[in-house]
Amino acid sequence: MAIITLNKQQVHGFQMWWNQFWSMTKKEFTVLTRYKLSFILSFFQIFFIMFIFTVAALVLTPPEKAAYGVGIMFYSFILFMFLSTALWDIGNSLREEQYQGTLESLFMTPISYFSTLVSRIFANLVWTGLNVIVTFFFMSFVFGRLPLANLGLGIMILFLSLFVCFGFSFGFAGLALKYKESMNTFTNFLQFFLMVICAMFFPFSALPEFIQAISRLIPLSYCVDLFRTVMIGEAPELLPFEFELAIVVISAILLPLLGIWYFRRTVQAARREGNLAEY
Amino acid sequence: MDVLIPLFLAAMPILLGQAMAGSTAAASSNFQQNTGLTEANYIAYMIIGANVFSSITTSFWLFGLFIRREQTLGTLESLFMSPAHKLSILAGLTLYVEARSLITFVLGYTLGCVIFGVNPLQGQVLLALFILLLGLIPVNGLSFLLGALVLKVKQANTIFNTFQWPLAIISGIFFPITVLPIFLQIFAFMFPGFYLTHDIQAALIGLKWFFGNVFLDLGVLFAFAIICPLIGYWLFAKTEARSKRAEGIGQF
Repeated sequence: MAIITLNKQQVHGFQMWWNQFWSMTKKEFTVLTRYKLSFILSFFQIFFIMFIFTVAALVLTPPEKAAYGVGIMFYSFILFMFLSTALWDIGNSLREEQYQGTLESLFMTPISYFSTLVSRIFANLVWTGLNVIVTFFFMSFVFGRLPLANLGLGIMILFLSLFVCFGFSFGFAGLALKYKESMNTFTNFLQFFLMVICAMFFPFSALPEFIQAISRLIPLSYCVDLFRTVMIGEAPELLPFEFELAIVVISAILLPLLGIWYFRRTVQAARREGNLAEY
Repeated sequence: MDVLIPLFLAAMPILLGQAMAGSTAAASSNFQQNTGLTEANYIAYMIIGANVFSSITTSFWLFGLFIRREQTLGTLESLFMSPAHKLSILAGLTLYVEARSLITFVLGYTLGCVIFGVNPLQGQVLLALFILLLGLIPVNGLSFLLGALVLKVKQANTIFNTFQWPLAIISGIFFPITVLPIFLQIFAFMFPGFYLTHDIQAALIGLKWFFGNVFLDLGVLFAFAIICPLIGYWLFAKTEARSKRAEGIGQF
């Protein structure tokens, strides 16, 4: 039997990173498209959710503010969708590997933690992005033209916000390995908690002052505020534009690093204690 | 979480609507004007809707989730080979979910009312709880359909996640179905969740009974409580028999 020896460059180089990332992404995409009906229906899911909450808000809204209200709801929802994908998918994917008994063997290989984590949600993020585009046209058809003030800047802020979500996501993947099944309840709670505290479906002004003070401590609030106000063409609510942009950029760099650091620590601790495969 | 999630769901349209309208009073006036429900408190309306929706989804998903879990753990085939009757499994699950729904509805509705400054003890509270228990029986019966769907297409999570929202729309959880196109209203009349939601709103915040009086409304729910479990079970049994003949039920 031939033994292949790899040097450090081959194990940790970009080519190896890319190969890992691409193989994992292909595997995730195969799983995603394996259940065809479920794959197609996911397109409609976002539209239905948007529809019910938008109509519910519109019955309380004066007609002259309807377009603004629909814009707030839609652009906030985009971020919520990506956050939700990021929070759930990595942790769930790792849990599935635990159930199937392949996690331990995977983490015994010299694989890059970053590539294995990002590749687990890359396919879903692309799919969520397509869903968002389709929903944009659905919503425009049903509720009239959505405001679209600055698409280029909006996409850039959305891209940065994704990295902020990755930060949460990596940290949660670590917690999912550590606390196993009980993380589901916590993730569920956190998702809805962030939805309210980060004013994901309404302006920050709708929140009481003391909750707004908490909102200002969470970087995701600035992502939500900046993204939707840029898309609608209004001034941000929490801070002037430049300050919010600076906070979003810094968070997009720091949070993923912090998340990956925590994840690495959790995996190493689990390997030392030998409970990586336990579920 | 079953107590908190409905509160979060109701908070979204309430807070956005209030921010757009400028005040609670203006939002209330818009609600009455847009829906024609002049007698209804919109906050209580939406909180009730969100809590009933939470109970409906838990009940509806109940049997399907059970089947899926057994599938992935690899114990479904052996369970179905045993002489345990599926109806007894569903009855046990139903009892559990009814008790759980009752508790979470009381806590969720009370918490929502307290946070948004509405009196939770208005209306006929005991009647509303009775309607909840009665109205969840047909929904639990329909959960057999989802069980059949899981047997057929395996990964039914997305299907369920997708269809729970149209069901929420036709259940009238946040707005009356009269604001919807007529074809959606027809679907609503065929779904027991619509009567469940409407009747609880009628009992608690004084909406008109759908059929004019409480006994007729309860009669319709009772009829659904008999018919839905029978139809659901029949379809599930057919799908199960077909799966056993074809690829078996062990695959996931």
